[in-house]
Amino acid sequence: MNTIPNRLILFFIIFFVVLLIPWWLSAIILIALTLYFPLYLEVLFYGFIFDTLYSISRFHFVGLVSAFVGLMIVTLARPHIRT
Amino acid sequence: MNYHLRSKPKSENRPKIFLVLAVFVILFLLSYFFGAFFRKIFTNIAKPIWVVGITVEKPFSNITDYFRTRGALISENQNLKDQITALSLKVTDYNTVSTELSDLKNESGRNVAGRLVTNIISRPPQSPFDTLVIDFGSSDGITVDSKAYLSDTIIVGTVQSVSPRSSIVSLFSTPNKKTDVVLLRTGASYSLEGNGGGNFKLEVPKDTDIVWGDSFMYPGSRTSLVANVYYIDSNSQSSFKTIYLRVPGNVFSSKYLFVE
Repeated sequence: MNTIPNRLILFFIIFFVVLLIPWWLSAIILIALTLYFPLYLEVLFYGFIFDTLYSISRFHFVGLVSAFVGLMIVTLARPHIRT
Repeated sequence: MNYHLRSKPKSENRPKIFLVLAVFVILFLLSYFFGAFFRKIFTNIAKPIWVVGITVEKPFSNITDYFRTRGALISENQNLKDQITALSLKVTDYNTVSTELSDLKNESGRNVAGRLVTNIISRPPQSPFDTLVIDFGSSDGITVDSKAYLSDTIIVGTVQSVSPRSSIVSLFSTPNKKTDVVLLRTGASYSLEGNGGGNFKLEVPKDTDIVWGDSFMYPGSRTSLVANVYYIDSNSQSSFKTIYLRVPGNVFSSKYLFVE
């Protein structure tokens, strides 16, 4: 599942999905994918898209920063979890 | 016997952390310096997807009605018919007054026409913020701070960001956003605090003259309604009361916005 063609297809599927479904459901799906894949950098890109499309507040990096924090936590914690 | 100290194993995670940090910094800088450019690109890509989503969702929007009992549907049908009869009379009265107002404004040089009818192509909960994306942009004459209306008299927000073919409307009810309004009945000025989802909150001294049903208007326009009072929370031990207000009509189920 973690091959480049699979990740690419999944990227486009998730891109369509996050545009159409409620944001909280998108967040749950992205968290699940971040936990599943070893280094799910695409979540940063989705955070970037959320901020670009919807955010107009003074600090319009909420999505990107949230994705970064989540990905960093998973990346740091993963080696310490015995699987 | 000497025991050689083993050198600390190198962290295998370090390259991954640097990679995540590098991608984050790149995206952050792109968003900071080229935000408007990317907004234009992504909006152009997302617009057809949103339109397809709205079209596909339409036949399934009333799917829960198939599971309702016949009795409940008959009762609701009768209630709706009664409401339609009452509203038809109000519409007749409204049209009469509206025509008279329009004539008066035209005589005084203020034209009420000229609002663009725009389609809402993205709305909460697709967006985590209280914003609506409409399908008209700078090429259609929309500018930042243009006022957005739900109907002839209900104003819901202002345009905050404009691309050539789309715009983002920020609702007055965005959480923690302050909006200056005027109480229609007394003319007093207040500042409403957005509570999200078309709701507002206002905290005032207990003896302030605000009652249930009061209408708050946008400053400078006695015909632009922002919200109505639907609940007053008054505690006998506190010297303040909390006024809860709501936009009349459902912003999030409306298909159109009128932009001035």
